[in-house]
Amino acid sequence: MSGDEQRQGEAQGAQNASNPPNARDAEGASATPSATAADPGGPLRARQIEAQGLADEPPEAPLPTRRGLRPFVRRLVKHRPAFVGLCLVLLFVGAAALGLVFEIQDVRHASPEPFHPPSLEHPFGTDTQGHDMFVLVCRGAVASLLVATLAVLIAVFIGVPLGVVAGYFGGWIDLVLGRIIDVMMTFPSLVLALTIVMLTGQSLKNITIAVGVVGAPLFARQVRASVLVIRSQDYVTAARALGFRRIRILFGAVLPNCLTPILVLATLGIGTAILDVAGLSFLGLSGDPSLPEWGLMLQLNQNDFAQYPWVVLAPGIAIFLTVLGFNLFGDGLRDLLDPQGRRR
Amino acid sequence: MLVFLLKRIAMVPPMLFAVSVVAFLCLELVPGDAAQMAAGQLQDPETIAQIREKWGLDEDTSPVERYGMFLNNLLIQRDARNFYTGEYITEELFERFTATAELALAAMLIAALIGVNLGIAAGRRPGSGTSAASLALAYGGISVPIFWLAILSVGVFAVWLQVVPASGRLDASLLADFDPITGFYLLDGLLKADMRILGSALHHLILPAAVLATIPTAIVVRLTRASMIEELQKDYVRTARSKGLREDRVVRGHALKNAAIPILTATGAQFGYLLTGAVLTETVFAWPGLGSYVVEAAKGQNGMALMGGILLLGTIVVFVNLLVDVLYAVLDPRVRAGQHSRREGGTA
Repeated sequence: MSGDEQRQGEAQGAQNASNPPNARDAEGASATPSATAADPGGPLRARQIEAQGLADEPPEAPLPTRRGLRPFVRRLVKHRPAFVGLCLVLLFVGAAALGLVFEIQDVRHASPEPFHPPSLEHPFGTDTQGHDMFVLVCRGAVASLLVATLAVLIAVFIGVPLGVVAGYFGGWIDLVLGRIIDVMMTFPSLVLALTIVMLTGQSLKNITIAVGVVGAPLFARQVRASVLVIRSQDYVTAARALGFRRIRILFGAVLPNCLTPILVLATLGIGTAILDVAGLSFLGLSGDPSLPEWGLMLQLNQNDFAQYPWVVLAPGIAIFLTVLGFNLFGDGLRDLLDPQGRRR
Repeated sequence: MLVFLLKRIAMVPPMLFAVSVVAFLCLELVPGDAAQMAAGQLQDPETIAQIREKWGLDEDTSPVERYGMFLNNLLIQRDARNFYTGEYITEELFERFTATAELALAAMLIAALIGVNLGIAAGRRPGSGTSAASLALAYGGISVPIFWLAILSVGVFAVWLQVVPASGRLDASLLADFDPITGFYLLDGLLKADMRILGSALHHLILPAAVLATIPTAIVVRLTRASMIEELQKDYVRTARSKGLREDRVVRGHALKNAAIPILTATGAQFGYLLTGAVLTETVFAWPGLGSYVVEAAKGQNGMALMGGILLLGTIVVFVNLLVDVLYAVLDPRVRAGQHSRREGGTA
């Protein structure tokens, strides 16, 4: 990290600290019109960008430095949607932890009675084989969160280097990579993922890889757009003038300044990945039908909904709330980390 | 604008080429013997040998030659067979495409009607309950697993209330002696002046279309709301109000007109997504469209069918995107005057 960059980070921290916490409240009812109008987005916007090929976003602020972290947390708590999102995410992280315990102790048949309606003993009822739905949903949280996070990591590790290279080097490299990204985005993500799973074989592992690969162009495009702006900043010119090697400029000056949009996109991406993974396993592509996975549970239980609604309601609500959590939190992060959004 | 359009149209052939390469890769990368896969388990060796020859699936043929044969078989000869159904792939795809297009059009109509009106109502009063509700709907719409919503709606409306059928496009009794003209069943019903077909088609269409409309509605609501809030703050709106124009005319005549460009562009892009992305909804409703076709092909490891499906899907998106860009150019006076490129303008 160059000196310039560090100073900029500190200035950022100071700005965080001096910013009145109530400057930007909840996005909902109390949002100022101009702020909302200027950011009509979040995951919606991500999809829009995905669909239309627009990603020329201004570069966003660096992550809060350590000094800025406490005010950041305070502002996060004040930002109602982001806070609700974070709570939902934490709720399901907790459920996953509980699920791990169930997994280890191998709790399955909580009751020998199939289709037991929700009761104190079985809060979410039991399924066709007498499995406790609460246990299943918790174990499903482990799979969903793990798989979605891994998929996003894959997307980041493929997409970010591609975007950095395309944006920083420009020229024919940019042209070639840009076209590859365009073509990948031409196909609907689920269809492309479906194809990859068909070619590699039906399993949860391959679903993870497919969702990751399909998500990569989004990151590449975002990072490319950020790098294009950062490349012409003074601190990069300074680093170049100081004779730093390219790799050092890339990792020291360019990449750290792309982190905020990457972080926002990754948070929103986990939500999308959970939906995609659940969708693909719902289509029966996860191989092993005994896996505790939310989408698979819905596929297995879908015909029982009319008689025993809880077997379909529980996993579905779990997916919905987790994805909602990541979407709210991701959008909130964008609001909180974007200095332009904050100034408004 | 001409330059913009020509540049844009020049991008189409390379995109189509790339799409065809991706489709070709489905055949190329399929694990195991592609000819055997295409023929299915029960075919005799003779048929498999024929397939191998027709598609160049042997070691002597280079991938480039094979790509040529692939294009020839699918686009010029159009006699590629889906060995799982015995039908020609191109014919199957056409039938599936009309089913998907009908569903997507209906969904888009619902999304535009609800989305724009709700978005306007919310945008007029940013702090109100309507506004909060529309935002909640927007977030809910993009977070809900669409196949789960489909299962719930089938359970509630088809099984419990029994107001609509659970699956398919037409009553089985009508389907037996129904010979589609266009493949769009609503249109066919009108053309044949057969109220039973029209009614049954509409009856089957309404629930899947409503479910499919969830995501585009969410996106249109949020975008309309944001654009309206922005436009209603501008000076020309104040001018219009101060000269005594009725509020309704100010909102719908002036502000909406200016907010319409991003809304239309986003809607167009969503339409491309709907035409191709209805994979899950079609599966739950057993809607015989492209999405469920691709799913069946992928699950059955049917490389030939999947390849055809991918080729058609990609082509659709390439052309829908072109259409959206052209529409954008025609609507936006800045592009029309050639002062403004779309990438600078953005829609957000």
